[in-house]
Amino acid sequence: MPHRLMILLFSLIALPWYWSFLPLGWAMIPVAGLPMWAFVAMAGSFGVSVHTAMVFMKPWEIEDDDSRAEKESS
Amino acid sequence: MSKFDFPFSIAETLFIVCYIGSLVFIGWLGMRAQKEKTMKDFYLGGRGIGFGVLLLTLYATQYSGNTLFGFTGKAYRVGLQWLVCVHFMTAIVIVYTAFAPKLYKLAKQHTFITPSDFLTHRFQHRGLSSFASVVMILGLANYLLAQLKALGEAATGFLPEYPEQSYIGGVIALAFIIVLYESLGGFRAVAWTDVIQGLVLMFGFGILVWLVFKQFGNLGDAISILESRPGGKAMIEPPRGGQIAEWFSWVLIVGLGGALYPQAIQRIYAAKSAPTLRKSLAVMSFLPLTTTLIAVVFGVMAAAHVQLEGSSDSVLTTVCREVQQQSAGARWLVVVLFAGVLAALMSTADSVLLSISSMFTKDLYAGVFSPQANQRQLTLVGKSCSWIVIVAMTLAAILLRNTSLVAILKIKFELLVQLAPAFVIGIHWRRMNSNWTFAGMVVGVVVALLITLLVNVGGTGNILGIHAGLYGLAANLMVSLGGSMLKPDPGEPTTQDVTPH
Repeated sequence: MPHRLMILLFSLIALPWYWSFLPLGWAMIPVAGLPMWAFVAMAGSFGVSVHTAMVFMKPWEIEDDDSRAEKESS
Repeated sequence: MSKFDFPFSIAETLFIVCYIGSLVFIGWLGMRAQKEKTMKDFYLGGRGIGFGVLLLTLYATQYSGNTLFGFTGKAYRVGLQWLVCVHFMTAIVIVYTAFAPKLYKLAKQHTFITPSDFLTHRFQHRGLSSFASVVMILGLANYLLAQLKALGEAATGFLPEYPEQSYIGGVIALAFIIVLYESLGGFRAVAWTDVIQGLVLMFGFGILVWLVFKQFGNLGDAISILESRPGGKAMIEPPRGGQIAEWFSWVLIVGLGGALYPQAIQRIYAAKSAPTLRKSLAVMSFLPLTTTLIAVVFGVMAAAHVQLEGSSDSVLTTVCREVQQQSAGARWLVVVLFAGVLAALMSTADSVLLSISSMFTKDLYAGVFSPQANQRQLTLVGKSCSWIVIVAMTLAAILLRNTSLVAILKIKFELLVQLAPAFVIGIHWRRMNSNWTFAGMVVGVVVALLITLLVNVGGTGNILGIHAGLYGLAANLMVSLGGSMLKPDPGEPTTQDVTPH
């Protein structure tokens, strides 16, 4: 569950909705060749990817059945 | 200038021909590897595929001609606004966290072949399953059309002086190659060729990174050029007002619609084991950053440095042609990138074609018209279907050459997203009623199509920045969930499959 919460939080950072409420000058400060808003959006996207991968690294409940079936077939 | 200003040398052309020939050879190997003449063997490759093949086939299937031509072209037109494509490709993987584990389990228990097999199992409603299959076939036919169009555009790189002839010739020749190896080896041929195509595609994106910085310098300079150009600021400023709604809309519609690609669902079914599937999906969550982000950077830098005369979808081929003039090494990198382009297009087209063929054969032909047909007959019907579909789509690709790739991509998602309630909610919520789910799906499709075809505000099909498909999905959810809530709770489920864990 914490990973799903982190996906939500990073998604809110990655989608640049909040720059409407901030001065345009801040959004346009260059960072690594990109305007700040675009850099933050990509950094947020990386965070989303990390936590999505973490969700998939956790074994699913069905894997016990799978490994049992594999043993039986071998 | 000579009559045939051929941009590739004999050795370079041979390399591309050998690459394409290897796909047919793999199709033949796939045919020899067939263990039985059954639909499961032909459409899912028998007992399942391992991590490497699954990852590369998912990658090669999800990233297509749209990524290379459509996305670079769109970024060329709208600049950093198109960074939304990184988010929506990531959203597809996030949506899998919601339903892939249960779907995989059910698929293994009940030997599903097509996405509608799940719907039939869950809802026991022939109308719903058949309608869903038709929606998926229409959506995918649209997608196949986009791939064939992009193949034609790629082929114009061979004979730029004869764009019309090379486009038509390219579409016909490459469509023939695809249907040939697909009907030889079925899913095995498609998945094995996806391994080569996925690797070539990854290498191709690596070359694209090199190409963009070598050709255009650094990103900061490109941003400065756009900033100083009239109208250029809009390409690099953050989204505002309706644009923000459009970002959310893109993420929702592609995230849900892309996760429900029938060919991707069939790869969930085809995974050898649950760890294989979840590790592949874990890696997939990072691939938007190594694929679509590169396409956007390329498009933005090209917008600053290249003046196009034709469609923005041709920006990649235009830049490649310029790079080819520079050195022998650069020429060869462009050749490999060109092979990557073909790989992206053909790998998506073959998966889509196989998926259409399986749904037509199993869900419609065997499900509605000829339930008595045996496995051998059905496999034959499936192969015939592939040939008929490819001929029809090849003709459409030739006749509809001037429609934008991204416009084609959108219509597909307007349709596929209407399946989301049945799959994503239906797999968890046992109160979801079959009649109401069917009604919701029909209403959703009708609303989405009406808005797309009739309203079409500003030529985008969006109202207030929201895609037509999401209005359809809202109507769909109101009907399917609202109607299901009105029905009494069915009590204990009849099978353990629909019990929430």
